Amino acid sequence: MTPRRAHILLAILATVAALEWISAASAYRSTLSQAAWDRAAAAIDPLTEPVLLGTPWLDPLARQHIPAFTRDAALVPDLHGVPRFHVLGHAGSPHAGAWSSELTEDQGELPPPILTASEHLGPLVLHHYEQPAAGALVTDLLAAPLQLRDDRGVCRLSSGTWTCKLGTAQVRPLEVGYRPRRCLAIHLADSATLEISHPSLLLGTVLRGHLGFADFNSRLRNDAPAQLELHIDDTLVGRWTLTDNQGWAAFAARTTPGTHAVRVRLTPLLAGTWTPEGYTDHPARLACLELRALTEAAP
Amino acid sequence: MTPRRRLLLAALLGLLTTLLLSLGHRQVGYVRDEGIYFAASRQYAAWTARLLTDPAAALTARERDRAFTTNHEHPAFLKIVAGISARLLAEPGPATTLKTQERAPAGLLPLLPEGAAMRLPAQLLAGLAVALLFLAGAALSPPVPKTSRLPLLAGLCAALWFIALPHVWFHAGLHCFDVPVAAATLAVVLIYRRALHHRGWALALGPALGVAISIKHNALFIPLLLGLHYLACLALARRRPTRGQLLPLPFLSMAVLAPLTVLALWPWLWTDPLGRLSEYVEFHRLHAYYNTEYLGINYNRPPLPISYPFVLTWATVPTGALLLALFGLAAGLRRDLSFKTATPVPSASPTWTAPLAGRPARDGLLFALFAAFPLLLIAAPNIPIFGGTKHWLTAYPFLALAAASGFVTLATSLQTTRTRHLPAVVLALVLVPGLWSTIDGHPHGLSQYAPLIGGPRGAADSGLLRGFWGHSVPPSILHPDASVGPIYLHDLAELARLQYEREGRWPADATPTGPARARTGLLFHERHMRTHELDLWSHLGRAPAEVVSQGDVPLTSLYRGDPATR
Repeated sequence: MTPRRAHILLAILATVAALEWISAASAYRSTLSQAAWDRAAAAIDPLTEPVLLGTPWLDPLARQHIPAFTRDAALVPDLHGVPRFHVLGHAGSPHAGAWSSELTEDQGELPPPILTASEHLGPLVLHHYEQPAAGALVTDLLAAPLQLRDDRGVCRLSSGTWTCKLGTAQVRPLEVGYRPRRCLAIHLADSATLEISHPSLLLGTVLRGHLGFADFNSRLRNDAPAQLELHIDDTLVGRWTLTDNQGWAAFAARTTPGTHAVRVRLTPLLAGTWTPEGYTDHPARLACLELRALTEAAP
Repeated sequence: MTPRRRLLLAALLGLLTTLLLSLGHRQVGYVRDEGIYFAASRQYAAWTARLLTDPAAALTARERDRAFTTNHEHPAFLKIVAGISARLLAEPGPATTLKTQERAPAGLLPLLPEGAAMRLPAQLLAGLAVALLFLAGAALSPPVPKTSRLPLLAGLCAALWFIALPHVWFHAGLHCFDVPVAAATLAVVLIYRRALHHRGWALALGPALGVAISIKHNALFIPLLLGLHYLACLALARRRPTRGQLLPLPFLSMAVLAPLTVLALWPWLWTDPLGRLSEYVEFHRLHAYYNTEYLGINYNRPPLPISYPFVLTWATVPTGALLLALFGLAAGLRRDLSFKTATPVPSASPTWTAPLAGRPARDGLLFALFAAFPLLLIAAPNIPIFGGTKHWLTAYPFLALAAASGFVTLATSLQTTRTRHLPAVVLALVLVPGLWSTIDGHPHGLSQYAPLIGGPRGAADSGLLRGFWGHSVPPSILHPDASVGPIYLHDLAELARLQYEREGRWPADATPTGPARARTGLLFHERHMRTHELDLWSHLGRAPAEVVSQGDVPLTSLYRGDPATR
């Protein structure tokens, strides 16, 4: 090798190494102190709108230090009906944690929100957003007094759990698509149908919901589709066949504002899982359903 | 540097490595696989002890099979040695009566906790790898005056390139087989280089390969790669091979002595060698698929993206060090494969006992084969998913030697210029990021990433896995007096927990239980494990009491229930 080539190679190596020294000085330094979290908590506490994470891996630490992240409001099903929200990110993450692929997922078909301001709180950044197209939440079905029945009769509600002849249902967070989703967690016998109804629900211009399946291991071993029907005032307004491959599958139906009888019929088809030994009841695959009435501007 | 000083320095480096691993890894939690290896090691060592006191009874098929049936999907050698190490060096466990496990018995010279004593043989092998790399790296230097520092720097380059990587350092301290088999592969290849020229080394090659295979199955590929190298050497010599070269002693030694060594070191095989060998091969051929997160996607079925081992290597090995190794590989291949270079007239005639005597060694080709193969193998779409970087660590000693070779090439090019000290300065610049990364990553080296990807935070942003072995246990609960209560272990393997208990490190009140009955819960963060965290939320609330992090990135959460609210 000629000295000239050796010099060029050494210059390349030295440049890369210098970049690595600079990167190492930043990468190998813990940035999140108690003081940093206290500062973020103080900024977040007065906020009344949902606070979400733009740096998803911060999640356990955020829940440890900031009460807002332990509340149900942090588990929004999507960004519809959320005209204002806030995103906490790590300053070192791409775009200072202003956005994430998870938030893109939640955004669905909405246009990108407007970033109105970013507050730098040391190593954390609190971004403030507005979404004019989000509409407004009218009713959250999970918070409404619901009536549930299966093929064999009415389900009984006790301590937050509906007990039916052919299954159970309870509002709680379940893992769908590796994320916690607050929903009606439904366990139902094979081929059974669960009917969820409310005789006079205040509706807006659209009913939006999601159906997913929990958990990870059950999804691996059961790919059966589920059928979902939405009836308003005894009229079928939508029927969807959904599978676990769709993750947190969104569905929507236009509605007329006012009070209506709403009925959702869910047939998850198969509740068990397949193992090398065959089909078994346990572990069970749970359906995870949420539904909200929203008022949105006409498309 | 005199050969004696070189040997002395190599031995010192090896011992220093072992000492630092032995001390430093007391902070590294017991990984899932170690749990079963600990249990197997105790059984194997008990059988070995019985072999000395009552050989007739120990050698019956029933006794052998009873002792070696545990974890018979991996060869026994390292587990036997680890068990013997515990019998020699383990400190006794706590005097109090344990609930579920016997206390660790005292060894003859009780110096280390039982788990640390069982980790020691693997740590010694890591030290051996460092010593061998130093010697082999130093030997890459051309003849230089005794005062020249080139051999010293080349040796240090090879040794540090390898051991000063966070993932290598992490695995090097465990009672597992990944760094040991990398060390053994290096030893076999270095013996092979000598075996091509000397009868004694040719005879040693077979048993050495047998020992390597007795550590882990990765070594089964060694003879194939050595065969490729040998055939390439014959072809590139552009001379008709002699009869002796067609039936060379090094390969005969591997064919005959390696299987005998494997058989001798693995008593499980003695009852039904062929049947149990085929069972062993089938186990690994049809290995279960593990979950692994790669660029934000959880993979649990093949194929993994072909890019997987290459991207993960880049993400865990500093780029400057990788570039130096790639330059060394390219320069070595160019030198060894070029037909423009006239093959020198042999200084000695090849014979069957020294089949390449007087012929060029073609080290560049040899290093390239062993550096590339493990990565290419894991990149193959039909290879079962095996987790992270540990499965191609066997490539790293050869990348380290390639880096040393590249350094020597650069340094010799500038030997007579005014900038002759420049390569040494650049070498230091290139090696420091790895060392920095290793020190910063300890004791969570498995979750450490290289500077250019942004360390652990950058890797988490990119969706790369943080761990998979359930070992980053919060130190606050690893104390016998800690108040823990019934605990949900999540991915902390029960056998690993029992090892803490044997050593008196596990709180007496921390009885393993399900999430519904737990007062404390562990959660090791992995993408596909999220559902277990939600189970804990239901019973212990959503705010963890403690989070073990690496560079801010959560690895493990500890949940504590408030007894007043239960």
